[in-house]
Amino acid sequence: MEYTMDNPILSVRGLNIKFNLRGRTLHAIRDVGLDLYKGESLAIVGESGSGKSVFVKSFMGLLDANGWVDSGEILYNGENLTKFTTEKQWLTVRGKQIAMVLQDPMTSLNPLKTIGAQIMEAIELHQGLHGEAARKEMISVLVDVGINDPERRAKQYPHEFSGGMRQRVVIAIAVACRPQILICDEPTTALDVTIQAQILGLIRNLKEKYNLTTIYITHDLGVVANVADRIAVMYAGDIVEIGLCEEVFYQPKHPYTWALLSSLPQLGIKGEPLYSIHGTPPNLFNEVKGDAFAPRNPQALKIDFVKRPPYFEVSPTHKARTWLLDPRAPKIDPPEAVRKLATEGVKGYA
Amino acid sequence: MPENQNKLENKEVLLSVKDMSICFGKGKYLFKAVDSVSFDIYKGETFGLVGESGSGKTTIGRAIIRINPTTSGEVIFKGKKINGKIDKQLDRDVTRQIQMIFQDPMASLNERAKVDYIVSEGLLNGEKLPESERKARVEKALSEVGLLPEFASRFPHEFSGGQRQRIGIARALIMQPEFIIADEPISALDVSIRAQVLNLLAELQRERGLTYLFISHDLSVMRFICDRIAVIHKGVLVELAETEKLFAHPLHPYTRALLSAIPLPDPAREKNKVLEVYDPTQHDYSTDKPSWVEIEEGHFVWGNEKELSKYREMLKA
Repeated sequence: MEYTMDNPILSVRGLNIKFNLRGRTLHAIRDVGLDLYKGESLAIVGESGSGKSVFVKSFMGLLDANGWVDSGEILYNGENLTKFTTEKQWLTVRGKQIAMVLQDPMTSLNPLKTIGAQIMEAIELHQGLHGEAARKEMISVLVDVGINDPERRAKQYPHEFSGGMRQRVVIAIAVACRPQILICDEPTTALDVTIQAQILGLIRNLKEKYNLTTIYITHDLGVVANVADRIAVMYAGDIVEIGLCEEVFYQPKHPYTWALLSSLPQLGIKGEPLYSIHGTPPNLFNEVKGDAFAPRNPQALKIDFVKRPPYFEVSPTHKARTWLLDPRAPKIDPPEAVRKLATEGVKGYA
Repeated sequence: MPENQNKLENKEVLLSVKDMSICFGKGKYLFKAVDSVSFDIYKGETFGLVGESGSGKTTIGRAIIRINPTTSGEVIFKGKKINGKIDKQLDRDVTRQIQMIFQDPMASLNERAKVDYIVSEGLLNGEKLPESERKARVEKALSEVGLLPEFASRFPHEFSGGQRQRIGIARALIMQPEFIIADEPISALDVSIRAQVLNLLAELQRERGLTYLFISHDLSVMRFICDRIAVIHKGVLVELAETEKLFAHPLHPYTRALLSAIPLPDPAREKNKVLEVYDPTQHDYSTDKPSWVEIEEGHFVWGNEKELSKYREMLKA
């Protein structure tokens, strides 16, 4: 489905999420805004601990008990989800409107129930079908996710399925809720490459068939290139760059995006050391001053350590939080590997 | 790449695996995890073994280091057979000279031991070293992987994933091995840390002339660091070639499927890519039996006569 950028299905405004850990406060999401457009496929990339999972979990009210939305709004269909207080309110959104596929299909299924029963549960709860009608629907969902011989397979337990097939079942449960938004949190990390390609293809087909809006969370830039219409790059609880897929890959502006791309082995030259990012991400227990990536950026400007950069617009669809885009900033070119990606692309196979 | 070229020209075989099979279970439950694989690893190279989960790649690594017994075939290290029954002295030598780096640095370090003990545990099995010598060696190993000597008195949970993997590497290095089996050493690490560990492995190889068996499922990483790559599918080696040759002329349909499935970080390429799907039933091995053949210099492939002649055509084209 084509999407237009004037019709956000979900809007996040100035979101701050904090966690209480052993008496100290961790500021996991720092003033993040995002518009998700109907029918698009958005990828959120970032290292572990960058807050990408916490961010999307807040859309479904799935933050851990020690976490809370400190300020900001999450608007879905005109409703501010951060105002929800009871489970009952969340259940009108969770699954029904926004569904999620998790990384490890082994732990997201109930080992004691047949997969048919687990899919039926979602159908009965969210589509209100019962008995034979629900069973028919369950079989058709299984066919949709590419499981052969669904009548027989529905009676089997998760352990009788391979990893890839299990992930198909998890996806079946998610789409059986008929959601508007499907969040895939590292959907293929636990799978083999050949299976990964199949699952990504499957999600894409289902997106068309059910008119879904999808959010992928991943750290694999290869997967991102495959699935994303738009990319949001997260670092230390903030979206530092967001743009169309091609814009972020071919004209990245933020030094962190540069570093992420340069450290890809696909862009390395054999026999030469691969670019690596020094240091560690900032400790979010402390107040982050200026640009969070500055301490790891060898070319950081003085102002990067003092003042947090605002978003600078590169194009109507592309913006980045870096002082390098300020007209007064010195001109710093992206690293060679990044320039090479834009001009030559990466080597494939013959 | 002149350096690589050199490496392969003066080939000295360090490790040779001949017709090795490994079975688990017996009788009705017999499962052949590895089915008569043969390959040589040359001194100083990085040899990649790629396959899906369950293909037997880790089992091969574990068999070489004598964790899993072999069912048949031979493993020859520096001219000596090291699988099956061997004498104590040889066993000791092999354990010292071949070391392993494991996948998950969270699971492979003893949570209740200090780094000092974890790194030097291997030394305790050899002849007794004076305490000062042991300490010195631990310090040296730690500094070689870029960790501070004072880390020796800490516990594994005090370290990040990348640092833990360095501890795993230090533990292997302290034995002064010649051959290191790295089983998915970077799969469990974060993208930004991966580059550091890959660089460290490459640097150690340059300095000490180490030989690596690099086991992984990630072909894009392997392309970057391996000199040669062997592809394994369900316990059978299907293709082996120098890295760039394998990418330029993949012959076996499984290799082709695997290569086509690698996600490339380049949207223009990725969004137009054609997936090749591997269908194992395409092989008709009922009368025409397949074998492991060197189809051109240094390029091995598994196939029967009919397939081989097809592959030869493909190479000519």
